[in-house]
Amino acid sequence: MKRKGWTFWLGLGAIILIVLNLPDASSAALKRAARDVLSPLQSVVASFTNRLSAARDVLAARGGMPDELSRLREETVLLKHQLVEFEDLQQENLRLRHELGFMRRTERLPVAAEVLARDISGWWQMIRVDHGGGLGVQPDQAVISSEGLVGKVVDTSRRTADILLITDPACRVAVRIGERGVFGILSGQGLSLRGRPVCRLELLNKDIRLRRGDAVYTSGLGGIFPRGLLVGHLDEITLDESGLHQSATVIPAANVSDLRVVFILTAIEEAAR
Amino acid sequence: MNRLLMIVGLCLCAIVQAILPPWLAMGQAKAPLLLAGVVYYALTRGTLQMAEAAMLGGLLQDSLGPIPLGFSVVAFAGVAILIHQFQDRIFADSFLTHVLTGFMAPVLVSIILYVLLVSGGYRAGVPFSFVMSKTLGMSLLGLVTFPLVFRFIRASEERLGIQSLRRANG
Repeated sequence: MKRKGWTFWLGLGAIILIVLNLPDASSAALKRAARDVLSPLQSVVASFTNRLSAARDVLAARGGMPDELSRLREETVLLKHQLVEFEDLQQENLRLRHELGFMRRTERLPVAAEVLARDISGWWQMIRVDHGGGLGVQPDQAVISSEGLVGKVVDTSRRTADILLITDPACRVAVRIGERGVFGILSGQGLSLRGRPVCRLELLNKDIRLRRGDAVYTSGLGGIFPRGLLVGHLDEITLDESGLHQSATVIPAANVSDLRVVFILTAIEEAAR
Repeated sequence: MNRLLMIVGLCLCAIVQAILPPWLAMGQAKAPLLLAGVVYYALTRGTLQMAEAAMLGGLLQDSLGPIPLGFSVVAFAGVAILIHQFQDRIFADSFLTHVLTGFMAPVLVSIILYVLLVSGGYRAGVPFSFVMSKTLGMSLLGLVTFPLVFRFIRASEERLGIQSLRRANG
């Protein structure tokens, strides 16, 4: 009887050791398979909760709906007009690039994806969406919302993709501050003590005058994030202890704590023809 | 049927836990539903099913998140084995037991996971204050979620006519 007990504990220990030491490829394949199996059920639950949230929002804003509708109509007209102008500019830009013999540029098509879940353990700032490798989503593609940059794709299965949010300490983004010509690397800081998602910019030139509220955009350096995406706005600006550089906290423009739909910028074709 | 209910119950706990928003002010703590399911089986079943629940719960948590495969299995198995040792000395049906395990189990799991993640270099930059805040948040959420999960699984078992080890023994 005692021997049987020992065999059980040894067997359990052996299984745990095997799982811990699986090769990376096998463990990633296992995880992807599990995600794909559970994703239809997750999709149903996510869709239900998103509808509940939408209904709550409608009820909360019931009084302001006509105003909102009117504002959205005006915005649509304005955006349509801007789109026509941008299409002309794009054509002109492509023609000039072609004549100057510039390198071809990858065009990115935004693909809308619904948020299925957040990191189950809470150790990472991550979300999972319902579009994966089957629809052309690949690691290192930028992800945005209607408000600004959200993060980047870090892993995909056939039906799902994991997105690391810009507020995660492991996420780094090459940025520039407004039109001041200041470049830097933005890193996630997780959550402030008040639970507000924040990022940080360090080693900035101390001689350049920065102001709270200055917009921060992607610089396009590094190749993952296209140039000109709004990342957030400067909040607190401080001088380093050494007095040689300044640092700033950045409040993300996108509400990364409450995302329902995001857009993955998938690479589709080369634009300079 | 007993095993099937365990698998379905733990999968459901995992999906709901993943979709629930984190408690931002408390180190983005998540309601420990999956851990509650594992602890339920550690309190009410034999050693084999306790181990099965811990393995399945751990694998689900690791598969649905970026934690390396096996880390949560170690944490859940550790806590499940510890609680299982007290199975004959505590009342598995008592509300006090549910609340106490709900407060203590998330602390142990958070500490084990933190040690594994930091030693593996996966979350080296995470400050200890974040871990403390997260642990406290998970414990407070555990106080609420453990009794609910226990009641849900117990009610499902009663509906399906499944008896736990303790009740079957007398």
